[in-house]
Amino acid sequence: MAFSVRNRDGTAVVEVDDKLIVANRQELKDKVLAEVSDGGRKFAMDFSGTTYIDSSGLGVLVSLSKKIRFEGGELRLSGLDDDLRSLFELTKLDTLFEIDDTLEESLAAF
Amino acid sequence: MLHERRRVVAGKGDPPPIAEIVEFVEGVEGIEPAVDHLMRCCAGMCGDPRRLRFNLRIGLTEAISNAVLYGGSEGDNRVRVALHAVPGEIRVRVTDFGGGFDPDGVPDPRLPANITKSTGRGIFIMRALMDEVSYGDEGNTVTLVLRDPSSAATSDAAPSRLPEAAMATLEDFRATLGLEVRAWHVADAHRDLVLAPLERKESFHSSESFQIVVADGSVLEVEVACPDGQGALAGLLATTLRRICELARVAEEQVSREMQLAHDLQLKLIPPIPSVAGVEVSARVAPNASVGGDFYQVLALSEGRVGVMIGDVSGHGLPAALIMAHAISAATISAEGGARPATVLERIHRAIGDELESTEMFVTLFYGVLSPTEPDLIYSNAGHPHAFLLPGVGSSRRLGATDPPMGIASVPFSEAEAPWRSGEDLLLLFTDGLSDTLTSRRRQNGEARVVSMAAEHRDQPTGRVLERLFGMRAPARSLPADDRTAVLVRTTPPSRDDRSPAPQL
Repeated sequence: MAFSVRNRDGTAVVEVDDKLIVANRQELKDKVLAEVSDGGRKFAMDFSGTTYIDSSGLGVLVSLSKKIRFEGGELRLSGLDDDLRSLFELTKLDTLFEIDDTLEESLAAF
Repeated sequence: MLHERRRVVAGKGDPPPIAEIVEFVEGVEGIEPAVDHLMRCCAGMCGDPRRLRFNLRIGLTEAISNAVLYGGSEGDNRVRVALHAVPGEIRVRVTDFGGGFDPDGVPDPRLPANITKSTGRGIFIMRALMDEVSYGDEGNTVTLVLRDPSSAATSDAAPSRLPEAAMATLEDFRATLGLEVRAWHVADAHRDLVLAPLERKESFHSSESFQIVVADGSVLEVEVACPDGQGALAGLLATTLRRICELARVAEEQVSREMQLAHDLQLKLIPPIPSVAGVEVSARVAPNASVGGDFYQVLALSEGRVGVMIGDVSGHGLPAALIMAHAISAATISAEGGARPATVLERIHRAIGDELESTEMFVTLFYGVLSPTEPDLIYSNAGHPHAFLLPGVGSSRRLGATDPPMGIASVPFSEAEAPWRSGEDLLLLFTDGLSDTLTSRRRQNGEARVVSMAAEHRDQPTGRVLERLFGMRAPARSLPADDRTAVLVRTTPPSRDDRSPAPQL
């Protein structure tokens, strides 16, 4: 399973394993949207176990972020390594997302 | 899933491809396995690993994903991926069978109007991360190029050899156990195929790759494909190869320690060239990695004479260096006081004869005595092949052997004389190493090239001539290099004009 969602004190912590790519992006989308339907509003996505994200993976993150914001919630990302961070910078998506160094920082920032 | 996979082994051409792979990808599920496989094939091809791990990986994923998602036609949804790698450059062409699109119509995803869109980033990312992205006229082919910025500096590096035992083991596994094995050296950007792959059999699905470190520290990458359920064979092969390479490395380290010792000894033993009025000498020993026993010696003798010696011990390593050490010390002692060349050789023979006999080695040795004022060069030559007198006018003259090499026969040594025109003639002595590196199938005579190069520049200072000799380009396929040694001597007669120098103004 590439994604796990668990609840920590009212925040949905989403851990992304290995890769977020065209082949599995829908799975992430479905899981997070299910959480939103169940009333989840605070999302912390942890990428510390992720090696890479392709453009469709970035696209899913963008659409989830819009959806969560639309529902009045908040999405924070953490655990991006240098490669992934430069991908966000390259596409200027670092200006769209709230990005923290670690999951703990994300949890503390809500 | 991968539907078809074909590998083409590196063929001839300039530069030869180090990998050439064609894959067909169908469906989003097929993208990752294809990318993984291509990445494995490209391992080590770029000096900067991040450019592979990040730039190439994402570029490949984007190109293939685009083709899989948006390309294709009713009849054919396959995507063809062709990778062609040469030293310093990886080139990937992705083709789908769809109608294509207009790559110039893609908007900048970073603009405020586009930043919240969930699509439209793939081509932008590809262009940012690859060195070159170009589309075919139809719009259904994209070519990505990733270059290795470090390859210009490293592409000349000679690939290391795989120990023979390891090579045999690879072949055994391949032939007797039916594994498909492919192996190559990884040296920065260089991937030198050492073992070609067999055609992949249909039932072979499990595939493993591992790396082993070869004796000189370079890395060998091995990819193994086995029949289903036989994955343990790859592990066995890995363990066996690692053991073989470890043993080879230990053995090689021992040898290289001995080489280093002998090498240092050789250079330390050769005494500095003394300064003698009216005598100009330039000499150099360039020891090879496998040290030989080349040496030279220049001795200041009585009455303004100078003794010039060059020698080449037949063996290599420490035993050769020891013989050389004995010969040099014996020469220093015996030549003192201006003993005749034949006498000097006899004394040297007395010092090293037994050693030569017991080790079955021999020495070629030339020793000549000349001065700025005397009309003759007196010499003894125990089988040294390369001694020449280059006169100011006329053709060069070989100062041939007066005796067999020392250690071949025990004889009293003879002497010969050659006219020496001080101020005009040049004495040129060198060893096989210098001329052999210039010898090839096409150019047989390295010796003649050395002599004519020296003759051509004989009017220049001896140091310059020496530089010319050591700067001569060896042909691409020359014989393996031995030590290279050369000695050049010229004398200048004292001025016959005794007038005092012009008064200073």
